[in-house]
Amino acid sequence: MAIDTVALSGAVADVFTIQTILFIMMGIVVGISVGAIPGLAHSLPIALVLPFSFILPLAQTMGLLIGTYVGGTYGGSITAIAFGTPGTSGAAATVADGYGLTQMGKGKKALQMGLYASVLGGFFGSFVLIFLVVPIGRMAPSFGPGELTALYMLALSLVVVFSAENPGKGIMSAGIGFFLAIIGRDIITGGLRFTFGIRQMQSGFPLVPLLMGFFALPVIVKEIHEFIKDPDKSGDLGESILDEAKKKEPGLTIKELFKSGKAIGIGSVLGTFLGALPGPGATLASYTSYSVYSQISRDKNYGKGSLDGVAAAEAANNATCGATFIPMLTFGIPGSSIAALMMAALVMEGVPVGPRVVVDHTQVVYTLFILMLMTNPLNLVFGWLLIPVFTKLSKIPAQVLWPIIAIFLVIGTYAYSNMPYHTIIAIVSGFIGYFYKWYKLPDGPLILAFLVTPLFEASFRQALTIARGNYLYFVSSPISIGLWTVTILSIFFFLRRKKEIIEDEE
Amino acid sequence: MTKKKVLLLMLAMVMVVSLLAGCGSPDAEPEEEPEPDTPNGEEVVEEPAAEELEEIDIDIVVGFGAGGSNDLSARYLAEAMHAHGINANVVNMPGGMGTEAAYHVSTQAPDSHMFMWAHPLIMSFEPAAGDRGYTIHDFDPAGLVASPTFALASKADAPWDDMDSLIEYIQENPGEVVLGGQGEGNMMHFIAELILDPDELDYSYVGFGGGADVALNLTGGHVDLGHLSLAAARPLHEDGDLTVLVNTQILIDRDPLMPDIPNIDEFGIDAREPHPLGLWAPTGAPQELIDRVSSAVEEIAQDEEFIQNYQDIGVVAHYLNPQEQWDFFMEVEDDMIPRFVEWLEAFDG
Repeated sequence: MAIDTVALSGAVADVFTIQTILFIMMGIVVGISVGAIPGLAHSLPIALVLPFSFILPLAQTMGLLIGTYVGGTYGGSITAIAFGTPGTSGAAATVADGYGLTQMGKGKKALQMGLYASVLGGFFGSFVLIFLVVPIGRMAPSFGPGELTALYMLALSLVVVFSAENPGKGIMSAGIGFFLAIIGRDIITGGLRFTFGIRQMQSGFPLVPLLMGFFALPVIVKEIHEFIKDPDKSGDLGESILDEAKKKEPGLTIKELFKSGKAIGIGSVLGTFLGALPGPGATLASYTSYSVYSQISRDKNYGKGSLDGVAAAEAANNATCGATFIPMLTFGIPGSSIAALMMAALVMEGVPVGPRVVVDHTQVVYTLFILMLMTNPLNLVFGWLLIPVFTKLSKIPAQVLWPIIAIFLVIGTYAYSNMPYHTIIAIVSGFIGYFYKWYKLPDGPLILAFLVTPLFEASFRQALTIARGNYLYFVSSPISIGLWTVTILSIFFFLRRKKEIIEDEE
Repeated sequence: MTKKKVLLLMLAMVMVVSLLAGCGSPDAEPEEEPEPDTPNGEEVVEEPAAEELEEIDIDIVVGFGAGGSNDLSARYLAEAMHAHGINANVVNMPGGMGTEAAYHVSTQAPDSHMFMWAHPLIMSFEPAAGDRGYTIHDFDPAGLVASPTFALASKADAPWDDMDSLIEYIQENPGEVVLGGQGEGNMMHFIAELILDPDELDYSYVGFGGGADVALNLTGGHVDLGHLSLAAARPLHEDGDLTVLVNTQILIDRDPLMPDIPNIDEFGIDAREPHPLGLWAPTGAPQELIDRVSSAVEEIAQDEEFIQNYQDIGVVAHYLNPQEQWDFFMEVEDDMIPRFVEWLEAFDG
């Protein structure tokens, strides 16, 4: 892509103004703060700032929106690490290792790793967006129902990886996720499945309230229970651990960051790829990267408190930020609900987004690119400034902190779509989460199965309709064949590796 | 150092709290300045009348997430209402194809100043398909202004170039053509089958998640035909990624966005799609309020800038007063709904 210098200098002039930079910063601070609150999905502040596009110039509106988006995607990891309650659904994969590290007294390291991995992943996603937007964008439509079926099958096969330690529990967990995913209206016949005559259940089990309740409520209940049992001990729960941490662990060393370089790299690549496809999104990207890296990691603590785990998950979810713009800028087709919001803002600014936007509105596209690049270093600065603030938050006495989180959870799940029903779902999901903690069931299979099942079902049935029932359709394109091969090879590889581990242990 | 941290913490908290306040109260948005550059002559004439009226606050409930054409059309309307002394706050309440939101509005008090932004899909088709907790008789019309245009488009290298040759092609090659639409067993599917009758033409229908999905599959050549909004199809049409065959706009024949594209009517097919969006208050809403809102809507529908904004998102700005709005929906109820219910029974069976 030849660089149009006039448009580029115009874009630079638009972005590098005090106002635009201030709006980016405001976006990042709002994004990180809201992202860090369990339950408040960060698409909410983005929707709230949307009306500003009527009054602000383009660079400022988009700076505010992109800042909120990038900051929010990162912010979700803060509470995931510090309190074990993910602020956004994309940060759910970070909980196991992040909170594990906090409990081991390495909370600061984990928070810093989360930040650096997010920023590096975000940079990678932005660079891919800038330099490969056209070739990658052209790839997206070649994923039709047949190819997507194969891709989702590959994602589902990761359940096996998650269930490594106890396949029975893993399959049970995936089964529960599968069951929750099929509640609602059948996508083809419109028939109702497991709605038990409750009207609201017709639209299915919503993802955000499920994740929020599932992760946050058991932690809240456990902490409050411990406080009641022994008020003196748990009163300074966060404090004792984190203070020690500060004395003994001065934070993440460069060596540790480099050691997790591979995890960040894999997270960035997978996040960018999955982010560029319409559908999957940040949550699936972080879970996929997290489980793929578990196959490579030699860290024995992986899944219980490993910096690699935080790095893989966080790099992936922030890498989706840049990539999610790819289908929008190549075809004018929004690949996610957040891309749809961004597109709406552009339309309201008078920029019709379509396949020719790169040619017709080169300056606007350059502005977006520069904004994407600018948000990452600013995210680093604000993340770095806010880490001590959030570490301080865990010093709030338990009897104050946990009720506050519980209240935010209720507000957040309500604000998600202004429906009390979603708060009830969050509470029900809390019971499921408590049950999982009780029986030590792995949460990965549940989330993966829940996310992928509806996507898989839709693609599978669409493919069969197109092919009129001919199953050969699933292997009729090179992409499908490639994906099936990878699926089979990875299951084979995993089984062999597991056998080796068992032999090693013996 | 500690002071700094406390300050930062307070800053973060203040922002979060102000944000929460923003989503709770409808007063947050009116603080924005009303559009300063409401254009030219005719607006000035109306201004004195508008200024005499007391400012009122209303909520416009959108049954879909922020960012779609349904949402954008409501936002443009809300923005234009500021100049008429109406502080309209758009509330997104996605779920169940807009039926969750409609149910919510139907349960509100008549004087709640809450309006549902709804088309026949929400008002008539969904309640006819099953119990959604409300019917159109739970609402009073308050002015209709937006009519999104839908279209039938074919993939880039399709061996036909208009409706007639398409139908001919399907007749000559039974079972070969695949049409991608938005969902199955719903209004959109019903309309698609009005356009191409599956009893006479042998083709496959595939339901996708939404317009973006249809556009991607059409661009990738996974389906041969797509049923999607004109606004989504136009840029791809101009880029040669697909070809728009016909529009199915119900209120006017040709969409000013793509005036070359014929209406489905011109091919003798009775399948114009009833998608017009209007405001609906819970039944028993004060007549004064309805008059105030609908007269504002009527004036807004004449505004050049508003018309242009709507055109850019593939929506025709066409005003129907509350009575005409009610008549339009009743015609849909009488004419299409019985056929839809019959079709649905056959589909489920």
